[in-house]
Amino acid sequence: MSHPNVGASAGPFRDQITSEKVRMFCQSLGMPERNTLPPTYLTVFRKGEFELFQKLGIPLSQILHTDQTYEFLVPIQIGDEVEFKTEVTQVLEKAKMQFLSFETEFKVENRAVAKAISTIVVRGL
Amino acid sequence: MKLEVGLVVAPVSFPEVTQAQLRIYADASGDYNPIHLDEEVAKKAGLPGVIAHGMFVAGLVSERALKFLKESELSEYRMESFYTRFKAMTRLGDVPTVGGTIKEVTDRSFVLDLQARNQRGELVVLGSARFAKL
Repeated sequence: MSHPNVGASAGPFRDQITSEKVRMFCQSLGMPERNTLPPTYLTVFRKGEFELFQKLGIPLSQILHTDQTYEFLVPIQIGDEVEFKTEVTQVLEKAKMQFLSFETEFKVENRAVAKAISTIVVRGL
Repeated sequence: MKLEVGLVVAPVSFPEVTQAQLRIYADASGDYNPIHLDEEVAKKAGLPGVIAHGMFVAGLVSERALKFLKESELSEYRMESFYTRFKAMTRLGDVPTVGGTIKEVTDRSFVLDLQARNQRGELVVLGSARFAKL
């Protein structure tokens, strides 16, 4: 039987990618400015994950990121309005730790453009 | 430049991780988890002190991958997927260095495996980027 939190979801949310936000993101990584989206820019859209941590009563200070995958289907452009929705896809418990996986689907104008899969561990349950 | 399995992508060092940089990263990414910003909270949470956002180091890893594309003049490729696994924490004062190796080559794609290490040579992040021809 799967964990009761599997299937919990947040969103959809909408957010527009502006050149100013991309510039800030590049700067924060010490990267040269560019007119394309840096690969890890999708981390900006973790609102669903943060909402789910709150909903499931998981304190942020107890989580550590263990894995992150991004699949880029169609290039996302500056100026695009991105719609994204996050779902808990897996919960595993071992040795007083809980591993949670989230899947986030990104769409632009109703077309799937990218997918993110994050796994985090909740320490010291 | 000929893409071959085993081709080494030279390690590049990034600037020392500072609290100021992590604060800028928190603003840019929207990740305000206090373990990245507040020494006291981090220690109370059982950590050795403030640690860098995992995705901050992953961002440096992806930057090394893109730099390889640029320096090798492989502009006909774009990144199809990017995977990272966090192996160890990066603390304030650490200096990440990222290098890699070409793992797989086909007619239309290649995979670059990357490793981020700290100044002690410890592995902190593993990455894998798949590129495909446009």
